[in-house]
Amino acid sequence: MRDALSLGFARSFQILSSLHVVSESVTHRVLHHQAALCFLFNVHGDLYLDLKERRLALASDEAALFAFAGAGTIALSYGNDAEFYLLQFRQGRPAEGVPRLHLEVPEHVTLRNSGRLKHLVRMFMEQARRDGVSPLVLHHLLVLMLCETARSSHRRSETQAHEDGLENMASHVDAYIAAHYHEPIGTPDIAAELRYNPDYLERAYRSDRHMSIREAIHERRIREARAQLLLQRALGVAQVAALCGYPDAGYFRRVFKRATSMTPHGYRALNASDHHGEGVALQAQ
Amino acid sequence: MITFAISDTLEALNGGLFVSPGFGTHAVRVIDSYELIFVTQGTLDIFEGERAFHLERNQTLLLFPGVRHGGLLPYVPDVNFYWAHFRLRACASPDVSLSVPKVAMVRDPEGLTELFCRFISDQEAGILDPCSAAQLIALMLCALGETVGRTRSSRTRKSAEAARARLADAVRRVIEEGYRTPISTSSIARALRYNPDYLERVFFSQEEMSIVDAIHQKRIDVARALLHNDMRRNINEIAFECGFSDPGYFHRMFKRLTGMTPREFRSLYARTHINTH
Repeated sequence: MRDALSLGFARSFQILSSLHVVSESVTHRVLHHQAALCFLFNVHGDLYLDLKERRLALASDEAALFAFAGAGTIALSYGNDAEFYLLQFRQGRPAEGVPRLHLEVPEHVTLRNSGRLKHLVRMFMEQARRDGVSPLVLHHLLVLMLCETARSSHRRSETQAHEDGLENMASHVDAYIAAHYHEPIGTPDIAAELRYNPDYLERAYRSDRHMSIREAIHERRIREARAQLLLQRALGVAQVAALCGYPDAGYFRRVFKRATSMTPHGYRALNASDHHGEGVALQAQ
Repeated sequence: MITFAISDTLEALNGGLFVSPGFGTHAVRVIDSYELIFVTQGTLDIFEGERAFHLERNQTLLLFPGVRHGGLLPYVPDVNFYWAHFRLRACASPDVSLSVPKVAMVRDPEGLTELFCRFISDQEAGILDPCSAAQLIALMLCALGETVGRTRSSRTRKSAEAARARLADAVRRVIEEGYRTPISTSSIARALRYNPDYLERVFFSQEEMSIVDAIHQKRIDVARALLHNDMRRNINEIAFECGFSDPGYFHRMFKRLTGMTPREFRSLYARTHINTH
C-alpha cells in the first residue's frame, strides 16, 4: 500500500509576471514584454492599450487576451478610478503522449459574471504573494481563469438558447460598436454588417440591453471621450470629438452634457490632477 | 480566438458534500477511480485494503482505485465531508511532480472548502467544463501535497532565524485559537510574554503583514467558508461568529480583502449540495 500519490504534470503555461493596479490618478505607463501572452481583466474604470498594431479599449468587467510575436512594449493609459489585473505568461512545450484539451479563449469579452473571475484572480494574487508558492498552483489557477473567460462567450444550455441568441447578437453589436465607434456608424451599417434586418436587430438589441443601438453608440463614444479628455491633454475638445466619432464639436458638447451633466471642459478641469499613480507590481515565477 | 492545448493528465468525475443522516455506514466497494475525502466536521472511520483510518476535522484521505474500501463504524451524527472522484493519466514527460500524502492535515481548510464549493456548485448548475473540473481537482491536490524538487526555505534557516519563525508561528496559533474573541496585538503579546513592539517587528519580518492584518485575514477567511457552508445563518450572525462585533466594520473589511461584499461572495456559489454518496 502506497503512502502517497505521485503525480506528474506537464505545465501548459509558464507564468512570467502578475500585476494588480488600483489607480488613484490618471496614469500612462509602458510595460515591457517578451514574446509572451498577456491576459487583462478590467474590474473597474476605463483602460486603454496601445499595442503598436492596434489600440484596445476595455470597459469595466471586460477581459482581453493577446499574443505578441516578439519583444516590445505595451502602453497603458487609465483613469483615476481604474482597477485591473495584468498577467503575462508563456506557452510551455506540449507534453508528449498526453491527451490534450483544446481551450478556445476569445480575445475580447464582456464577462457574464465577473465575480467568478474576480474570485479566481484574487486567489491567484494571494498565492503569488506567498513565499515559495508552487508554480503548479499558479498554473492551474491561470487555466481556470482562461476557462472562465472562454465560458463567457459560450452558450449555456438548450433552454437558454433563445436568450443566449439575443445576448450573442447584442454582443456582436457591442463588438462592432467598440471597433468602429470613431467612424460614422448607425443601426443600418451594423445590421448590414451582421446580416440582420435593421428593425429586427433593433428590437432584439433593446430586449437584451434595454437601450437602443443608437444610445449604445453614444454611450461608447462618450466613454471614449471621457478617457481621451483626461489622457490626451494636448488635444482640444474638437479634436477629441473627432477622434470619438463626432465630426461636429457642437453636437458632441450637447451629447456629452446630456450624458454626464458636465461640459467637456468642465469634466477635464474637474479631473485636473495628472501626477503619477502607482499600483502594486508583483513578480511571480 | 486564441486556441490553447492544455495537457490533460487528470480527469475529474464528480464530487459532493456528504451530510450525516445519523445512521448507516459508508458502502464497502471497489471503484476504478481515485477518491479524495475531506472531513469538515465530526469524525469518519474508513478502511482501505488492510488499513484502518480514523479521520478528524480538517483531515483528508486519498483512496486508490481497485482497492476495497468502506466504512468501519456507523456515521456519527455530526459528520460532514466533501468527496471527489478523479482519474489520472500517465504523463510521460512531466515537468513538475506533486506528491500527495494518503492522509493529510489541511493547512488551509478555508481555501480547500472554496475549491470544493466551486466544483460542486458549478457541477450542479451544469456549467462545469472538463478543463475547469480538472484544474479544481489539481488545485485541491496541490493544497495537500508538496511539489517535489523544491527545497523549503524554512529548513535551511539559521537558528536565530528559526527562533523568529517559531515566534511568528506561536502568534499564528494564538490567532487560530482566539480569532472569535476580541484579540489584539497587545493581548497576544501579553499571552506570549513579549514586548508588543518587538513581537510586531518579528511577526512582520516573517509574514510580511502586521499582526492586526493577520487577525483580520483569519477572520475573513473563516467568514468566507461560513458564507458558503452555513446558509442558515445570516451575514451579521456570521460576522459575530468570526469575531467582528460591528457588522458594518465586517462589511468594509470583507470588501477590502476580497474585492466584493459578503452578499456578492455568498451568491457566487449559491447551491450547496447535499449528497448521500
